[in-house]
Amino acid sequence: MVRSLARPALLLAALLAVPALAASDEAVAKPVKTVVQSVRYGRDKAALQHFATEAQGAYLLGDAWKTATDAQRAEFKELFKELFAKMAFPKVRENFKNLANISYDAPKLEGETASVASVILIHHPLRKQELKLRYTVVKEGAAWRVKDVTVLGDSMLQGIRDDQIKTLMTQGGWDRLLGRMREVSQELKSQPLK
Amino acid sequence: MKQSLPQRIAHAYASLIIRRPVAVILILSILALGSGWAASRLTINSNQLDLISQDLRQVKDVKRVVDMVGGAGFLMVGIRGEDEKALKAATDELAARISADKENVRTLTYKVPVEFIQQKMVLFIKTEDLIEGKRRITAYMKDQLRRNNPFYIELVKTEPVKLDLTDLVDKYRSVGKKSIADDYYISNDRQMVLLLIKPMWQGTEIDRTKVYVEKLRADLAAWSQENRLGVTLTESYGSTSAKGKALTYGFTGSYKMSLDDADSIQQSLKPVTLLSFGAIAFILLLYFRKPFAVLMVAAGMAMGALFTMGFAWVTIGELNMITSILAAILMGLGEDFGVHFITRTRLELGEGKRYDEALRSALEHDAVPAFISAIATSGSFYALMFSEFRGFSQFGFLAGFGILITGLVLLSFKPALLVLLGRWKPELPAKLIGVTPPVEGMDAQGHEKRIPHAKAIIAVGTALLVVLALFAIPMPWAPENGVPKGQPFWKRLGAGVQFDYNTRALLPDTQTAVKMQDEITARFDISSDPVAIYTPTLEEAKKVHEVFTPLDRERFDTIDQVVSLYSFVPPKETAEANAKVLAEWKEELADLSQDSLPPDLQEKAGMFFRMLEARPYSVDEVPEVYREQFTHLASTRPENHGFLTFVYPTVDLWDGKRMMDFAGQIEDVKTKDGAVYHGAGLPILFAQLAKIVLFDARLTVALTAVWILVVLLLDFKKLRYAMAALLPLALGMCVMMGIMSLLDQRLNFMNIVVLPVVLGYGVSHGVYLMHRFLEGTSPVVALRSVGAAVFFSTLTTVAGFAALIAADHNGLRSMGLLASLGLMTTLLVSFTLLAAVLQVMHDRRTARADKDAKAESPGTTAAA
Repeated sequence: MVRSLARPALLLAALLAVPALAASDEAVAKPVKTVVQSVRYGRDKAALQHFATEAQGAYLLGDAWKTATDAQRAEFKELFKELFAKMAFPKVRENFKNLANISYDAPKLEGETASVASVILIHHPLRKQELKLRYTVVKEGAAWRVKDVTVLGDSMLQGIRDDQIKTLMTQGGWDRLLGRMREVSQELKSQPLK
Repeated sequence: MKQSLPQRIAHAYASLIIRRPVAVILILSILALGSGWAASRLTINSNQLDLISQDLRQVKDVKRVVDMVGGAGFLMVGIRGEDEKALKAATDELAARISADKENVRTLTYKVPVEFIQQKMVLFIKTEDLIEGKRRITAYMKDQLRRNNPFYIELVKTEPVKLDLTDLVDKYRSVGKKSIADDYYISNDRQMVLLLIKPMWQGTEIDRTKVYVEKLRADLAAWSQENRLGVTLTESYGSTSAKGKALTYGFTGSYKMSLDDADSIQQSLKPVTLLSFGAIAFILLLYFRKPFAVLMVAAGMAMGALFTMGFAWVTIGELNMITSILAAILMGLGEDFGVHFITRTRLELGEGKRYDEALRSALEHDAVPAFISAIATSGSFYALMFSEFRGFSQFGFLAGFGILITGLVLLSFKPALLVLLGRWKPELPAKLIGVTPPVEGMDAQGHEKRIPHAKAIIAVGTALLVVLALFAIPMPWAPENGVPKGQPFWKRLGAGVQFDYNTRALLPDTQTAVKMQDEITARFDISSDPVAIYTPTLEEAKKVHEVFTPLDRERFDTIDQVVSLYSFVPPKETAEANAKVLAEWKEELADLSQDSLPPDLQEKAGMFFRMLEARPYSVDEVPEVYREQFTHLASTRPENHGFLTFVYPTVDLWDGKRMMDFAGQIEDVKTKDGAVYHGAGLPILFAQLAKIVLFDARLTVALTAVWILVVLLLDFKKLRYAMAALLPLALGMCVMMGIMSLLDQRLNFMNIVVLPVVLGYGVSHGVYLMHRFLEGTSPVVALRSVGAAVFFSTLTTVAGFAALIAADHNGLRSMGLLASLGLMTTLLVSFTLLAAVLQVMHDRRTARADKDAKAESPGTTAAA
């Protein structure tokens, strides 16, 4: 009798899990979609709310993140969000001018990390471009947030870390890094954060 | 005194002329008419290939290549313009227009699709270069992708990675001498495009090329007026490109070079001929002071030349590039007979003889030395008949007979005419040609006039002339390869008279085809037309290709590149190693597709992704458009079917020595299995020609020297007389060489043919002087009577050759200089050293005669 009940129970569990799974996929994909749409329509602050700045900071600074003071980490996170929004988001919007379509694949979960593949189809005046992206999403607390985006195999965070952060940290540690970030912030002062 | 055989013949000849002048004139007139008719049918064969023995293997090889590809070399048209787009558009239209002329144009090449090569190039390059290229491209792509990533931000400005593959691209810029960067045959500076026209005839058929070039000029001018592109096209040989829609063009290539070469000689000769005639006429008038005498000589010369042209038609049927100037040479040499005869006649008239006696005596005395001189001169020309080069052998044959004919004509026409005039009015001959009073052999005191200080003149003169002659001899310390031209005197000391192998130095400085070739060489970084190696099968072509791959630059130091069908097939090991690298690279870029790249990178990436697909292939997969360059035409005779491998020289083929080195390295190519294949082409032919000329020059000079000695010995019968007669020539030539060395003048491929002419003519000085001397006169009398004629006839011949010094053509100029120098030095020796030797001989002769006279009259002695 127990054996005869097992199969229907499993089936029921699977059936019940599908919406749960679907709900879970949506929870993972939602921040990605929100970030994309927010940036597209100029709602930068809204987009930044879905950034996993703690995880980003840890990735970008590595061991230095662990040894940093709370104030340094806090300032870095704020400055990074601001600079990223002011420098990257306008370029994204420029690409989106000729946007034809965005599609998303189902997220792939690996514990507290997930990846969401997306294809953006852009119809440039003379050529079409099919941009393949992969968003890395992490769970911070209860919410999923966007940590990284890889375009044509090139990780955004890896690029910033290797070309920018490491250089500045080598030059003068946190003082140099934060000092430079403040300088750039000052240069972009006239550009408001939407 | 018993007459010798030549004297008896001269006497009989003179009697014939005096007794039968009407018959002589009649016969000459009939012959002149016939010769005129025959000469009018003479054609000039301008095909240089026909001048070389058709049995020569090198000639047969060239003919096979001509049959396979329609001709050796091209007629090239280089079009210049600063606007690349306008240049290419114009070239497309012009190419279509020129190609439509099926009567004249066999093929026209101006672009070859290079996509196949561009895609496969990665299989050819060295694997280490491919890996290095991959490293650079990967770094660049990664940087570009990062910068194009909209999410990439810069806190610190960084410089983008630059992609510089220039050093790698330059190494592999061309395959088979064709740039792979562009379909068109376009220069590195993108301002000149080449059209390679293969006419329907060979490059040696100069007349056809001449007609076609004129037609092409007219066509291009018409197109310039009516084209829809709004482009103008003008012929120009400056190296700067025209601006905007104004294009310029120029001709070159082996077809045009041959044409220009032949033309330049003819163009140079036109003004020179007039100058020459004018100078000769002036000198003769100065000498004779009787216009009729000048006219007679001129008429005789013209008749002799006409007879010779008629003879040429009967015997050979045509003239060639070299025999076409025969008439001018004959007239220049032939007037010698006329001058000597009239001089002698004037002397005979001056002794108070009646016209017929004077003419008989003049003929009897003049005929023998004239005959000897003619024999010696014609013999020197006949020596050229041993040459393998038909240009020389035919010239020698015709000139040899021409001299004899001209001599005979002058010594029959003139005396016959004078006899006729004398029969009409006995005083007329003297009035018309003038009279020369007898040369006084005694001074006021009744002593015989002498050449003063004869022995001292001989000693000092010999020493001086020997010193001068020594400059001609290369000393042991002279550099092996000679001293370059233009060096100061003290550096040239001891180098001797040198041979200049630089054939370009013979051309006029303004030759347009050469200027254009220089420009193309500079713009395209290419060398001359290649030599072709024929193989009947593809397998043999591969074996030949392997001889030169890799190219052993020590063994083949004159070779720049070897191109065959196998040049378009990558070496197996390299192709396989590179294919592996490409496969790995493709794997690494699996996530990258052309569509995903930013728009500005997509176009470049297309070629890149196709290149990644390159895989090794065999010779059978080489596209037809490349293949056909190395195989025969459809119209080729079956026995000439096969494949060609092209060898490009690295040396300047204008340098005759280097050309011969190149020919030596490529004439016989031995493959690994022992088979031998032969290079064929114009450089091989010209190298063979150069060898023939150099060898024949030495041979003809040697033969001429022997011939002259034999003739003089037969004539004078005594060695001392023969040697005396030879003195002006022998020493004169040595001094000529010495002076050439002092003046840094050199022998070359053109003026070397003048040597036998100078030898043959120069002997006449000594012959005439010795004959006059052996008549019993003193040296002073001999010099003053015959010497004047020798002097002025030499002067006229010098004037004829010296006029060449005014020619644009450097080769002709060198001929004029050499001949003038040689004739003047022999003349100088005649009037100095020979005169002194004759004086010494005369003194001995006189002493001997006195001794003999005393021995014959013992009574007188006893009484004394």
